[in-house]
Amino acid sequence: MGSLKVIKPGLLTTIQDQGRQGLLFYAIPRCGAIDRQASSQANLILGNPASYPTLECTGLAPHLRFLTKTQIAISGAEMDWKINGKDIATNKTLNIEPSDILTGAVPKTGFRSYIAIKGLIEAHNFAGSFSTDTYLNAGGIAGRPITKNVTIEWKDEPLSDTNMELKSPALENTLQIYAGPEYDFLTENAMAKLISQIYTIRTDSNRTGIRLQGKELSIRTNINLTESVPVLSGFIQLPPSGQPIILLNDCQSTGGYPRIAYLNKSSIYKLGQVPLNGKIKLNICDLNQRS
Amino acid sequence: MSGSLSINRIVMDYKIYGRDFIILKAKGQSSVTNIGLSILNQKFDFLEEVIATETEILLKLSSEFEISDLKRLSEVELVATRNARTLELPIQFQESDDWNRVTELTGMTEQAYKEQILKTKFTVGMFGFLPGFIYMNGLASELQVPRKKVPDKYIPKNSVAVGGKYMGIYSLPSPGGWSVIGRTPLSIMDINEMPPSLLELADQISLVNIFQPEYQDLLNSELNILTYNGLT
Repeated sequence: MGSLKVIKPGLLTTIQDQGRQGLLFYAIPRCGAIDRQASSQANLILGNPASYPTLECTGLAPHLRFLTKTQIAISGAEMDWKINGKDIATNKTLNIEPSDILTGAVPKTGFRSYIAIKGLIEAHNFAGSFSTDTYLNAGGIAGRPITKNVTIEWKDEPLSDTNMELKSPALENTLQIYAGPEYDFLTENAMAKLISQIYTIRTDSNRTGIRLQGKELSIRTNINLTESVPVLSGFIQLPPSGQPIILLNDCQSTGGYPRIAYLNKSSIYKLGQVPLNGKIKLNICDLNQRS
Repeated sequence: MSGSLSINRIVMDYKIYGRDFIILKAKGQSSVTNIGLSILNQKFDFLEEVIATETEILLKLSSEFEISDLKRLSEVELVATRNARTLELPIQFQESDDWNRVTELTGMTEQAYKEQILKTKFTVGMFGFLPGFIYMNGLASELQVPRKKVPDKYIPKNSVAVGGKYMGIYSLPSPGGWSVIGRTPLSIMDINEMPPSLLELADQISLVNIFQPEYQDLLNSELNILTYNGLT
């Protein structure tokens, strides 16, 4: 069994895999890595299955002391990562010796970094996934973000001598959206504003939703949802404030706000790398013109 | 792409959103949650998720989906409405500011409201919102209280509340905009079980008024809604 000890937990570090599926009927959210592509990539570099859990580090890197020999790979945000004070490269296999210390800082680029460890991290398997659900306190370690002095263990797997190096996909602040079920609730003016203005990501955003700040969007008069309706992560809701909310992996399964649009899948991963106070622009695509 | 589709002679409008999801909308007044459950139970490989409210079903598509699968949807057999279980849910009514809202907005006294709600037969109508939240139908229109404009930040676990046409139970603490009328000592979900909800669609629920010593005894007994009613 391999292990490490958490010296500093960072801002929000949780164990996440590709998430749980098939339980939204009972309002159990998917959870899982927000940038699933980066989490998979870190695993693939090490020769792990892409679906293995990784440490999702949000906004500020944790400091970790490894207790055993292993290999790790880091993908996603660049957080000024160092081992024993020396700069290291991301997106490649890093050899770790017992008592090595991994440190990092605030992101230089991106917002979420994923640390994969060679082998399977020991975490609570809840409904087929190791992802931390901080609301149900299930999955991960006790269903909570990692804290100082916690020990993280994993089932060792033979170290590889591959030198696979992958590139992180380019960061992108223009996100692709499609018209949602209530798109036509928007006034023409709001439809235009939705895709022409630059939105700022509000600091009260979290894993349930990204709150946008821009010029208010209005709904046509005499039209409203009378009942709660189903929602998925990636859906863009418009509450009465006129400021859209983009739902993320930990979101509710139903909601009462108009679903004006939704993000395409890879745009959700891109959104996961935009920092708080960062800017984004939405670009609407025609559903019928998709390949 | 859109059209209409009939499942077990219930006609619904559908719209397909790319290769992402399908929305089925009820055309009539009757709830479509049971159709949602029936689709879920099929475990179709072309679906990743099914979410059902009373008026809409959302089907999240997997990469396996093909247009011909619409036919498989229309052939779904409805889950038999098994002999619906009749369950009692003990409730301790609590003093709270929410009671002022309830009496003001319904024009009823607290006593009259309690008497009426204790006589009501509720039916589990849908899941959704948050894990373990249960929407129950049956609230007479004179007992209905609109949701709060600004939701409360914290509603404690196992609160029983009314909002719009529903009565609901918050299995876990959460923010919420409904008016809390009391609390139950019984758990209605078990996250170690799949599905985690101990209640099923169409279960009939009636409230039973309990007071402090009994509330505490039941809480200590760790009974859940099923074991309390002699079911396992």
